[in-house]
Amino acid sequence: MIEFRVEVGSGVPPYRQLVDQVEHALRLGHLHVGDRLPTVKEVAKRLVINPNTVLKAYRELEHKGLAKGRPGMGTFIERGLAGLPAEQQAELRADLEKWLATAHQAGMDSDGIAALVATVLHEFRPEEN
Amino acid sequence: MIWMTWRQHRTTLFILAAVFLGLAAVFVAVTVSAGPVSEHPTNPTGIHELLYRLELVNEVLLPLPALIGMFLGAPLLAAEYEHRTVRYAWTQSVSRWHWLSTKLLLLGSAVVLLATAFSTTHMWWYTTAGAPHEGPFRIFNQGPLSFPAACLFAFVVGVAAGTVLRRTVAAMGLTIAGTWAASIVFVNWLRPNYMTPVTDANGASTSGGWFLSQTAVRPEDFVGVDSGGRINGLIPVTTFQPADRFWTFQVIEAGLYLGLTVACVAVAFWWVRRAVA
Amino acid sequence: MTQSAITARNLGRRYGRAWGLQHCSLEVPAGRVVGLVGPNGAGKSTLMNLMVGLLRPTTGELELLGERVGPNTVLERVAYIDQEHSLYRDFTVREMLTAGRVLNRRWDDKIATDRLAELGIPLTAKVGRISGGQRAQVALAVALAKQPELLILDEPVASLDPLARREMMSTLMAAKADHDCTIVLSSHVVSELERLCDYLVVLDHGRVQLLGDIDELLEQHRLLFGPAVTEDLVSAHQHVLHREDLNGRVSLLVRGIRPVGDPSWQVQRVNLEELVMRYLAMPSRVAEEVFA
Repeated sequence: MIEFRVEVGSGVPPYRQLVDQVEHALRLGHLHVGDRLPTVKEVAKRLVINPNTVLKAYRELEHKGLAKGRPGMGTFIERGLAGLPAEQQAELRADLEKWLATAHQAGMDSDGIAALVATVLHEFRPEEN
Repeated sequence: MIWMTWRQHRTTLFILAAVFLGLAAVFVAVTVSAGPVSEHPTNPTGIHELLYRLELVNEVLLPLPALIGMFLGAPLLAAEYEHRTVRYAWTQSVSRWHWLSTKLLLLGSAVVLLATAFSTTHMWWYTTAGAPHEGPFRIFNQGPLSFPAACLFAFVVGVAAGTVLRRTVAAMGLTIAGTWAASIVFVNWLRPNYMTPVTDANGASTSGGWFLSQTAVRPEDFVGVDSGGRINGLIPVTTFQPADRFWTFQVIEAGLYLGLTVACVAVAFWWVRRAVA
Repeated sequence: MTQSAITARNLGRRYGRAWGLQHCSLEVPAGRVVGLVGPNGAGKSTLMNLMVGLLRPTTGELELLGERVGPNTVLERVAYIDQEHSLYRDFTVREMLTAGRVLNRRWDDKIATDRLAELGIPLTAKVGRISGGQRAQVALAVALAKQPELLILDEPVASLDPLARREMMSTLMAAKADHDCTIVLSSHVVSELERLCDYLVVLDHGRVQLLGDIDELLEQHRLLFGPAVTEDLVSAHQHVLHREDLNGRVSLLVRGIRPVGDPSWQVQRVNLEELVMRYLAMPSRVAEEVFA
């Protein structure tokens, strides 16, 4: 089951953060079709957030067709998001780890690495073909 | 509300019951064991003498109503303000009017019952085994009607003081001052004038009545039936309230106290209504 | 359930010469978790006291759940917890529940006992002997057992340590999920309310400075950063609410999203705390015009 987290002060509304996290989990294969999302009460209680926010996030997921509420049972993942197969993901991850080790050996700390990744990601324009 | 009243005030009620019913029990026990005294005006002896002496120190029994006002009346609202529990009590479904009226009714009834238990047994002891020859006026303050009324008055003085002052100790002080002032006014100014006193030139005793004053007038100034008694050539004139006026006076005094009680209750309700908690 | 939980029309309360609350008009939809924010003395407690009938208004009207506030009216559908979590300290927890039952027409003992059992608070303990955090939880349990349609909490966690704060709010949010009620929370710390509330009322000097759905408010406002020299050109096409000088650069709070058209200017989302601080910094007149 997915573990939600909410960061305040980022300017991203908490309901948006929950939606994003479900989408991430679907892409990374941590959530699958048929999985049950935690109940509104569970999320509200554990994260100490407004249940209306959780409801709003779940409604948004339903609106996107990613999840569906079944009365009395909970909210279930209805559709996955196109993600890479697990083997391919593992390969890419291994490549990334190799690169990280290189950067570390070159003397970069994790803040520097994060800044570099963010900048490159921001400026990266994949060719459209 | 009945449960709340009981739960919040049971300790005070237990103590007051112990005091009042304990005293009542003493008077019953003493009266039953001794039996009535003879018709002869003799001075009491033994336990009667002890009680009689305590009676002489009227202050021993006089503050009883004030105790009720201080410990039952004053904290009724003042303690709620001090502990801020009034913010809980007055934000429930029960309205503050209902809250106050239930408490006043229940505790007021308890006060009247306890005070009546004390004053009736005390009266019984006094008129049978105590000092019946001295007449009932000597124990007027503890009379069966006026005493419960005075207790009820002291209770609501405490409540009103607590409502206005919102501090228990200050309200207790005001209660003492209020009940004391009321008793001074009643005993010295009001009570002698409930009915026109009887003036008697016989020089005789008041025969169990309430002696107010004695003067001597020259025979030429005297108007009325001259029985012939002279002291240094002057006619002694006694002013007093006859003993058979006791119950009338009790009713009048109780009525006056009840009037003051109603006034204090009105103050308490008015203040509570406009109070900011 | 009624559509509007709180309706105030020109509500005002005067203390002697000073107004504790003035020209307060607002309408809060039911089912929300409302944050009532403002500096100390802004009128938060005054508004709450008016809601629960501890104060009477000097001017205007106040309706809760569609009923005028007054004795024997709406209070049985409203629960209130004050800052000190005032309870009878010489009562046991169980006696406090009995008090709640006898003082209220609506009462469900199970709601309170379940919650207290879950938190491990013994019913036989004296209210004055348990910790501040536990006392707050008892106050909350007693309030929830009334099955309120509107729950009003005045600075509910101000007196608690961080762990007790979290537990208290966690219980509150779980309760909100269980029983769909409207909740009003006051605080002078905005960040505290960010994850808890979805509707905001900002008070200052006894007046409403800002109110509305939080997500909408965040969508409606933006911060613009740019050089001071081009400020006039940019602000001519914007609804500027507040400006701040930053060494030759300026930061503008604007309402509505319009193109800036100058690449030397940056447009940023505004977070709740910034938004509230900016509104508190602007004169009441400006804020009033926004919501007029």
